[in-house]
Amino acid sequence: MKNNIKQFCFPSTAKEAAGLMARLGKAAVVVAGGTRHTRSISPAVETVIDISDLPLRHIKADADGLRIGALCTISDLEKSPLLAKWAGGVIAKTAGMGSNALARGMGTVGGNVVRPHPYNNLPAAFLALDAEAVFTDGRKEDKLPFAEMIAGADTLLFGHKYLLTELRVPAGTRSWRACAMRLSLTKSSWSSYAQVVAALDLRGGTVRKAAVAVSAVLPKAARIAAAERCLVGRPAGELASREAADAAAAALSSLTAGAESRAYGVRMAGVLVRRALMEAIGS
Amino acid sequence: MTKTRAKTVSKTKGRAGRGTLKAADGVIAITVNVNGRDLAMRVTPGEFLLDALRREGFKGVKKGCDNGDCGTCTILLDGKPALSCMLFAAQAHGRRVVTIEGLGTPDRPHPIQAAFVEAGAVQCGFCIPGMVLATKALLDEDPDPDEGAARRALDGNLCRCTGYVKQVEAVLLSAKKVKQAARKGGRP
Amino acid sequence: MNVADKKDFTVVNQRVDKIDSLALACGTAQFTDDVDIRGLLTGRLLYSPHAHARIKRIDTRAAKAVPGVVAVLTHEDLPRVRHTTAGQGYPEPSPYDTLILNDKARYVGDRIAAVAAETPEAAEEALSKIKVDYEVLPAVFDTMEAMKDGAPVVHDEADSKNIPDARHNIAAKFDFEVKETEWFSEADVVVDQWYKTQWAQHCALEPHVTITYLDPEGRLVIRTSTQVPFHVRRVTAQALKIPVKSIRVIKPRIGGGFGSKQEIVLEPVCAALTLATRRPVKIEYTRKETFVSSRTRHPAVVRVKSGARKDGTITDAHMEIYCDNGAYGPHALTVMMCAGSHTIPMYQAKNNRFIGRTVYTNHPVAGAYRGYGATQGFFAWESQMDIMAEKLGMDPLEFRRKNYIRLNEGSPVFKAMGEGREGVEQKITSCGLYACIDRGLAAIRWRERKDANRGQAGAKRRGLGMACLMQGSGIPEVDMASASLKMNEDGSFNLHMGATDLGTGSDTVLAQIAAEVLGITVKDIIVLSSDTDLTPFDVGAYASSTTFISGNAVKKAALHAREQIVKVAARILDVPAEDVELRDGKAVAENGRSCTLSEVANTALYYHDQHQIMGVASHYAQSSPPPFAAHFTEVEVDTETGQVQVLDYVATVDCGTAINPTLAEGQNDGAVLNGISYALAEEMLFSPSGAMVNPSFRDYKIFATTDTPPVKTIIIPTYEPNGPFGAKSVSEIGINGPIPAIANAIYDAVGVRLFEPPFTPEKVLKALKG
Repeated sequence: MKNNIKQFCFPSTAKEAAGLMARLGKAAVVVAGGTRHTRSISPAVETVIDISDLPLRHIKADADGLRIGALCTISDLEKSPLLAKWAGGVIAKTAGMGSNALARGMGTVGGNVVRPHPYNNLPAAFLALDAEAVFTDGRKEDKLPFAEMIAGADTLLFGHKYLLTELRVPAGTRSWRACAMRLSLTKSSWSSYAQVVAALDLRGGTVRKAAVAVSAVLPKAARIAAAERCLVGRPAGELASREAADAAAAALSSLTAGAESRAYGVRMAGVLVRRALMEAIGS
Repeated sequence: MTKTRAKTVSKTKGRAGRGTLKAADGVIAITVNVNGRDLAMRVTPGEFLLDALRREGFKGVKKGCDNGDCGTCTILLDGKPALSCMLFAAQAHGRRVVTIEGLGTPDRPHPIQAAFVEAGAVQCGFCIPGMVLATKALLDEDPDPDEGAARRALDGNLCRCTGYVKQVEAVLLSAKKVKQAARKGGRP
Repeated sequence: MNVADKKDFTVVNQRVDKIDSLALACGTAQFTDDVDIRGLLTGRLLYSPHAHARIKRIDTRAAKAVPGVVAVLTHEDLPRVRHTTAGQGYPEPSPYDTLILNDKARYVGDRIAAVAAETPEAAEEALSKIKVDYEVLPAVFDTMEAMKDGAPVVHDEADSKNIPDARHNIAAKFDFEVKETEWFSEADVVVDQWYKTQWAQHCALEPHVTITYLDPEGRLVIRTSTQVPFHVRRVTAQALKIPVKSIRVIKPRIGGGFGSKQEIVLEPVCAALTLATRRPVKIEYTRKETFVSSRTRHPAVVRVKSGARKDGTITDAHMEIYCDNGAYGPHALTVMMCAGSHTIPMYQAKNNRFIGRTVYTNHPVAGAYRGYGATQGFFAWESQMDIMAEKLGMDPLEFRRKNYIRLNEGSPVFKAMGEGREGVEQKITSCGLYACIDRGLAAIRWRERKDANRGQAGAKRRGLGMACLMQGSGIPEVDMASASLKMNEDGSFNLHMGATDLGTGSDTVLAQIAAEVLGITVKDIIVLSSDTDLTPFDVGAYASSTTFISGNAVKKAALHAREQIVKVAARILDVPAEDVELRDGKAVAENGRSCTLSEVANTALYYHDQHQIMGVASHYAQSSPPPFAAHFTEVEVDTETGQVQVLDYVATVDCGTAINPTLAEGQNDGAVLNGISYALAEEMLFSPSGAMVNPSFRDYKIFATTDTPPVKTIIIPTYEPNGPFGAKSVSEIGINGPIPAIANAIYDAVGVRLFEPPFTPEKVLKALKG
């Protein structure tokens, strides 16, 4: 594809990067891992902002919870000992699902979550764990619930006007029972028929909080409130899980307007919700 | 320059500023450390690292799909496997690249290259440079991988000839050979 | 003992390192594109966006005006020579229906124009500026519909040749029947079933690539990724109307072919650009072009109607096959015939009938693909065998054992069905199938796992399946190979041959055969393959022919050289020639005296009766001894999702003497995995208007390391008397097993039979839920 690139900028701070983004607007594109859009740069782009030098590759925990730098690679998450112990290791497990070692080694968390794409696995995990997105426009830092970042009105501004710098996961989710599952043609397939992350906060066998996030079936990952309602306040077990699974399938079916091509994925999302819940409960 | 720069690549610190590279007359001048030597390259702004490396004579970097899906163009970028078809050449400015040519030569092969030969893992050989480099990166991180780890490390490097049977064996044999070589004081 | 018949091998049957593997592992081995050529132009092709359209007008003026563009060619600029792109022996049994650039588009991806430019960007820009005025025609995509009266006619031109029924889109037809009794009169059980296989691509990791240039004398040099250098030379000469002697074809290292490079796809058009510009030109396919505009596997609709007596004797074998060749007809007749000729003789029936049609549709072009029709045929037959066994209440293994072809048995099919013409009568001269089955059963722990699976409960169910297979070893009385061995002063030899190593390891295998005869190691053999100026003729690497046919040629050439060596050595050692044998790099006399091969060479070259010791020989075969195989697998079916996971796969294969067991295993491992991937995941998908919608490895999934189950190849040694040191073929047979073995295992697991691969989760679940 013909492109009209004229310069490469390598900012060394997030402020500098966001400043460039703000100044150059649509004439610039941000590249981090480079696993997707280097091959389809718009002809309007004259500047490539390579943000790989930014100091945003941390995974740490403090009193508020987890902080994951936007430039962590997918494999950083997959291999992080800290994440392996957080909420049943669900972020690490999600990171390790799908595509392949080369893509996971290059692709970044930021790249995976700022653009909704059915290939992307991580949004479902961050949705389920009530994450927050930290971002900057070059002048000030701000934060937003992750759900709003990927579904809100400003979603397209991320990566253009706003630079995502960090994802934060609340401290309380550390002890949640959680499980991620996906169904795909083969293990290393990029795309999935359905992907599910289920997370439960249990207190004495009763569900205090529940999160059911689904992706691949929908254009963007989403929490399925109807499924969560079937769980909260009830004993964690097969009965509630089955009802949640049925509710999820019903909700997805109406969200996809019964589209024939999605019917299988919707049905599978239901199966995965039940299985993920049962595994989370049993973990 | 490159050695010190490489050390600055850590999980918390950013790389020291690489500033801005501007095209002049449609050409960008970059410096990339390839196989231990600083190489000044003149690339076009939209040129991919794969094409630039091949033009510079590193023909062991293969073009199998030009879309980040097959792994034949794998290089090591600051020690980690990367798809050179997905990176603009200019993005490698100031970084360390290792291609298959930088690992060993037929008269002095790297133990991993010797292991791939001995295991019978080379058929048409088009995917092998990428596989060998992916193996190098794996063993740098995990000197003693089991079969599952070997399979996971190579799952971005497609092969249509071997069914991967002898290639997975080659990774495990590589681990042995690399350790032997280290004991003898040879190269890592 | 005569050296030609020896069985106490020193080099053959040894795990010799593949001779080019170190250079390949170090990245120094040169593939087609791994050279720098000064002044190289980029060649690019313009493709039709329509599945079926007549070209009314092409305007190339704007394209030619793009800076950096050196040539723009359309059909008007080239000789109008209908030819076939199939790299087959001459005269080819495929229709002559193709032009280098077409005046009618027959599929989305059909080539319309070619551009050569100083840069890829200029070439792309020129393509975008070629204006083509199309008259869009109705298209036909369904194999069966294409044969009906009134279907759009894909080839309505007057100048194509060898199309049996163009009006019904029939690119090839073949019918055959031999019967001893009335059809199904002796059958207690009759099964009549349809099967269907999908579009698939070879996915060699190196895309098709060709570089053409003129040498200092103005001859055309074609450096190309091909399985068939000599056919490339002949077909390019034919299509461009230039003499064969004006062309040299060089085959460097090849990054896999699997049949896709048995096709003369890029060479004539690239050569045309060089002839038009007098400049070097490279055309390198992108991955998308490789999917859409190189070649694919013929999808097939197969009907098998078979009968058996209660005792398990097969009485009747009726097979119909309808292959889709897409827009052009390479391998139209032969792939279709091999679907029957490799399968029907597997089990002996009194009545045999084959009805074959290959049809044109407005799809991409099918061609040779590893397995070559047998893959499609064996899916049907080996599924059918399990269905029949169940109806008979017999163990499917016993049912097969009762009926498969034995040593010294023949089949009327061998004589009736050759490749594109009458075949050759032959009897089975080696068969290790009994041992293949026995060893395979033990290796997969068949009985033990069967017992363990009894009374399974839960969502995930396991099942076992198997399939028996055969293939050929070259095309008898068609394929020919030759080789020369030239002795050097140091006792080394140049082995020159047309046999084409495309990554298979044939250079190594053939060097081992020569080394065995000459009593040396492969290190003393310098192999060159293939260069039409330097190496003698060989049909090329296809039809599982190289080890068997080229191997015999090399063996004969080595024997020829040996004769000359022994004569000189006898004189040096002052003993009769009969008393001399060659071993350990020496000529050794019975009395214990010896001289080195270097002494022999120097004597011949410099001292006495001066001459070049050089062995030359050709070989063509009178039979095509089948290799045999038995495949076994255990799968797990998730009954809630439909996902099928292959847990284990054991493939036993009788390839006679494995000249190099490591390479033979590698060939079989690769073929088996290609088959597993084809069975479960691979399928080219098309939009309603005929455009392929998944032309990338991201969307057309081929198995990676983590997708791959444990695959175990077990070689069952036999000795094929017609092969070099007992060898038969091994390269293709392995791909035929996975679809039926997995289909049989799925049935064993969940009681549902699938007739249309790939067995994707969605499809399996649908079958499970009825």
